[in-house]
Amino acid sequence: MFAREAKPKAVGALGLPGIDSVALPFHAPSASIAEAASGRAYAWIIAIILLYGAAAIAVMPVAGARGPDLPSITPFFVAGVLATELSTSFLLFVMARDQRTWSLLMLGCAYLFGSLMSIFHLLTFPNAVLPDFIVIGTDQSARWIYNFWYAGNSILALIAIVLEIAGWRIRAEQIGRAIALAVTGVVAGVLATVTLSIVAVDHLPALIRGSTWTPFDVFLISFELSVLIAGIALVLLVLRRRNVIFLLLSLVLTAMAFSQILSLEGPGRYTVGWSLGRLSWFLSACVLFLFFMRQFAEQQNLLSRARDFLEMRVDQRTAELTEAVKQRDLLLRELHHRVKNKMQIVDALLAMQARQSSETEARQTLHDLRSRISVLALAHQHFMEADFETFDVAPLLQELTRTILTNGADGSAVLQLNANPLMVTIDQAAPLGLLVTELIIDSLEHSPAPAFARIALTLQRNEAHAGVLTLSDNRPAEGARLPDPASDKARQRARVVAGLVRQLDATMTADHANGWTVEIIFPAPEEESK
Amino acid sequence: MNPLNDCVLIVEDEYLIAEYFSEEIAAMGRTVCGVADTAEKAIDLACAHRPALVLMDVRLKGQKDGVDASIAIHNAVGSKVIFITGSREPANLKRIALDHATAVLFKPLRGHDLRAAVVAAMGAQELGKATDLPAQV
Repeated sequence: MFAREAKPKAVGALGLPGIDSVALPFHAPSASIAEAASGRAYAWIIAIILLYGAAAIAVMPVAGARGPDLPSITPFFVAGVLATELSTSFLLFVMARDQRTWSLLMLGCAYLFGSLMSIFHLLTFPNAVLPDFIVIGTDQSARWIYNFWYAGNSILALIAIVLEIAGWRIRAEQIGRAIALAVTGVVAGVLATVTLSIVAVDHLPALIRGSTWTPFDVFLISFELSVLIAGIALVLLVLRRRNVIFLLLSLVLTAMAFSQILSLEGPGRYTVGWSLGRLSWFLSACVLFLFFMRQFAEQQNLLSRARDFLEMRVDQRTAELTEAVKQRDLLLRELHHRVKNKMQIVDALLAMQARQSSETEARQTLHDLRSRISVLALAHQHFMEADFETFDVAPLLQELTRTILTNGADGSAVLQLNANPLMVTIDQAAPLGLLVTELIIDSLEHSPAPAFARIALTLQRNEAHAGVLTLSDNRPAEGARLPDPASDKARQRARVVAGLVRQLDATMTADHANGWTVEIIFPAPEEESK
Repeated sequence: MNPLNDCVLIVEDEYLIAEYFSEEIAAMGRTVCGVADTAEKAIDLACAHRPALVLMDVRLKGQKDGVDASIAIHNAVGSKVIFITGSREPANLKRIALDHATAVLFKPLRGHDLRAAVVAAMGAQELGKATDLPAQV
């Protein structure tokens, strides 16, 4: 009925983070539920008001007819008004906190006042609670409370309409205090008017005589009626459809006004006019409440659609990310493959170069170079297969020693490897492999003849959980070392070994009492506790 | 079926690697009957020369890969095939397993591994003319 213009940007108002960039597949309402009504809604309201007027005029001839005395109708009337108006006032305060407008705050006050006053109306109304008994006050009190109730409601609503026209807003930091103040003021007003109506009723003019209104009562009712009509006129002529809540308020005020007109026409309690007036008032109390209920249903629906949409987006995004990871994985493997191919090309180049070389020493140099490069390739291979930051270096050493020996100068050299599983990082693997390679090449060079080289290599952890690499060989005693330890090659190798030891943050001790033994202790990452 | 010729077909799309393998095979005293860089060429050469052994790279230029070529050669000629691949991934190995591979070698591989696999596939060859080229390098 009150179709609103769709504002897709309203997503943020739902408090759903991170989907602002996503076009929602449905129309979300704007941040607030108080907003402009459509022209159609305005036309509907006018039509209903006119119908209401027509109905009131139609019943006027019978309004004065006296119906049966039904005091027990009052509790039903009051209960209905109390429940709907109290709920509506709460919802209006919530809205006022959100919108920070004085007009909504004042409208909330009007509803709170109305709901609280209805309780006292019940307590003072003759025979309403108990037969032949008024709980508090007198018969006059009931009529005074009724008039205060009506007047308070009408005046507060009129003020709210004027404030809405003015468009004044409450500062954000004051909204809490403003609401507290408003509620306190309403409660104080209720207590004051009720006290006045009960305690000082004897000093007030009489409003009811028998079951007929006095002229002063008619004056009061007429005043309240004019306030209501002023409110309706302001809404329909000035505010028009700026705010759907206030447009509906004109309907509320119309129902209230006709309740007054009918009770004027039926001058006294239990006339047809009086009874229909109460019904009309009850209807007026329900209007905004029904509107809020409809909003609630709509927002629930919207939330559930937003949730479905979000779930769909999450699924979609997960699928996209999974695909992206798959692609990245593929790319990584492709890269890995290419690295190995390049390594193969480097090795092929060196092998072909070595084949062309006639000098044994040059061939040996190129062979050693291939060994070193293959260590890098092996370290890369093991790292790629590990899939983790650390990996066991023992299989790498196994493959590495086998590669050096089987491709070495003579297949009859013996290398005994005893490597315990030891986790190292990729940063350690390559220098460690190169270090082992240098030491093995050194051992082979220093053996009396390559065929007789006997090398033992162990890898383990010591008590301090550091990695310990030990290499020993059967090289002859110091004096008989081959080649000359002072040669460029020997110096170069010593420098490389020392440098790699440094890179590993390791310490190296060498002992040549019996052959040659070198021990390298390096920090190894802690084993993961399983 | 006609007997196979005592030669080796090399299928490898990297020129330098193919060249190196050729030298290694020659150093073993074996004949290289051709080098192919695509699956189609490999099949053509295999049909033409009927080699006893094919060194087959898995990834090749063009649409088909070494496994495609190998299956075709197996059916048409019946040569033994040594796969040489840079990938140890299960998916790749599974694909190789589709064929009747004599051996699978992984890049980067060194001369010894290649020689050992060739000897295992073809038997040892008396080194005649290759004595001046030390096979161990």
